[in-house]
Amino acid sequence: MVAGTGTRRFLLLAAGDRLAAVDARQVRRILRALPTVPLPGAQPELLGLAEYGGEPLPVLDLAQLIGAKPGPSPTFPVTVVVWVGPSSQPELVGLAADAAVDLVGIPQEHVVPMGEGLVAGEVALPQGTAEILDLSRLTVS
Amino acid sequence: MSGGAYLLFRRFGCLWALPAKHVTAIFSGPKPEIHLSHATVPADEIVGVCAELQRVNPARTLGAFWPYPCQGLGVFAKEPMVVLLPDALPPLLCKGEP
Repeated sequence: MVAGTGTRRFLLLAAGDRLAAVDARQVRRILRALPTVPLPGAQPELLGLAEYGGEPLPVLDLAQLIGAKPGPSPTFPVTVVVWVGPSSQPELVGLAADAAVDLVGIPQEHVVPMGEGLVAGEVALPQGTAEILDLSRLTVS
Repeated sequence: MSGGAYLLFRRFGCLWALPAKHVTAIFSGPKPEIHLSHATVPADEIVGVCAELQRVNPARTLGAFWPYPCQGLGVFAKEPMVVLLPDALPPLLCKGEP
């Protein structure tokens, strides 16, 4: 995600005490937080299952995914429906976040690349430091 | 039960589906049970039989955060559910398992 040139548009999401940036092309919809049904035995990152447009939707806790500490109580929690996984086999997933903060353009040269995990890079923005997510790394093959 | 039908039941607050052709018996009452040839599955409620599931998505993302294999995910009456693999039932759903 951080490779290439030019400016890309990202959706900034508040998750606990952190900001996460998701490539806007991977965002299908932003909804008021969907009700979820927890799955017994699930890892804490999996908030549960929801129904979205007649289809099942696993909903992940974005703060847990990026290891964020709890922030102030969210006033408008959202579920962001995103495409994840490799482009050959995309899958819809919900990301539960505290708020959708902004839509921003981020020049590629401003991104500091990071490891091979979900957080692919970091960028300093007026809103704070944002972690750029590579959602293609979210699923298992 | 027809080959494509699914038995739906509720357990631990979730909706689950089992291919009906693998079900050998159902015991209703205050503590319902579903019998398969190799396992007994307690249920909180037998929801019914669905002749055909509209949608079963592969659940690759689910597999990263839920340790049990499954056939996929579906929706019944606007409620999400897990479609189970009869030969690989999550131990937590089976009678006598910890």
